Amino acid sequence: MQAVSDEQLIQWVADGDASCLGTLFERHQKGLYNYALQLTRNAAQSEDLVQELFLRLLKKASSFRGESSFKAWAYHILRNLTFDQLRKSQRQQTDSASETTLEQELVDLRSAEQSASGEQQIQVLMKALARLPIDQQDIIWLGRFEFPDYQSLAAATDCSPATARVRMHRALKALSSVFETLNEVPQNV
Amino acid sequence: MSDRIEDDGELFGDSASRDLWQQLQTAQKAEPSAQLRQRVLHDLNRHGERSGSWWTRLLPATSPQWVGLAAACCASLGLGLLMFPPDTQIDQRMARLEMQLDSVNQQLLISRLTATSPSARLAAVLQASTLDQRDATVASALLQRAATDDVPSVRSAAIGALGNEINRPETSGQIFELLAANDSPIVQIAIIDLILRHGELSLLQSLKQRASDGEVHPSLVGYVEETMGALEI
Repeated sequence: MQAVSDEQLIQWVADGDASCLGTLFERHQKGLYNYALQLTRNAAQSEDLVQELFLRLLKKASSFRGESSFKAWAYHILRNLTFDQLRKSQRQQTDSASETTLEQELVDLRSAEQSASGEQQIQVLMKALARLPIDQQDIIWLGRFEFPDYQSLAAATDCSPATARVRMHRALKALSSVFETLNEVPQNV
Repeated sequence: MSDRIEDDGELFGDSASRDLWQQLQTAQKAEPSAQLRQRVLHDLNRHGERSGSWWTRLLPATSPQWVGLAAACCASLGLGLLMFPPDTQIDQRMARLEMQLDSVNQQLLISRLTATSPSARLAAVLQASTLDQRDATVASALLQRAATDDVPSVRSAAIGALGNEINRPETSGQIFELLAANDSPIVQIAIIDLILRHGELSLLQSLKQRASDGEVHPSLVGYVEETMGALEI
């Protein structure tokens, strides 16, 4: 349990004490960075997005109303920034060869120390996740790694809990299908 | 219907998929670079200067001494508030000052742990070992030193500084990986001593097993077996 809550810290930022944002950065930077990395597949771009997020948080601290957790609010802003960035760079239009390379780079980046044969299934799962459309990667990543319940997942993804549940079900069904397909062909990882 | 995603039987009904997700969740995630921290802290300092935040205005953002100066200012203010308490909200102000001090000290420590000079890194590791309470960032930085530092004495000091944290499952796993990966007897001695001093029974048993499996330097196997015998394990 944290001595001072995230919500109290952002309130102090809103009161003019920007240094409290440094503590929030230390608490959440890794999760935020990995989320952005999953969607952009680019380390430098992900760091730029996290930096931009904290600048936004600094400017918008006073607009935090506490209707959701600070974490859900921060991920919601980062999500919007990332999707804007992806739209601008039109990543979806890159050719499939480049896509495969990026996907492999992402898997390599995260699994450099997980090359034991017993962990091959994890790599296949990561690869399957990287092959899904961005919106499905988004809901799975947030739902599995960051937000334990549909209420907070909904707050982060700007929809109702029921919609979050439906999206999660659809995305996991798609993931399961890709995962099974990948498991049928020999892996060269 | 439960609101918890984990409890959604339709999605995670079978134990195999549950286990797989659990493994993925605990798998190592990518670390952002140290430059990201510097860039964000620089942004915060710059904002503080522009907006007239009292403590950042006192400090030149580019000076390497700013962290120490900030800590001294916070301590002086904290002392002043203690001696002459204002009528209202003293607890809240003190909590904020204490938190700022902790944050500044931690950032300073982490930056020293990645210093170019081995002696500076060693000093930072020793400082970290004296902290009563460390958060996950410092523990992670220590593990990083333990795993990757070029200098064996820094590696062994970082291992020793981990203390009771080796009993956390993710740390103990990494410690045993280090044991297998390090041929240096100095580093292995540090790992073994750490486990003997702070490890729970399961860790001790695991160490004994690894020693008999040949994962420990031959000159240290006798030391492990003798100590385990004395501990009746």
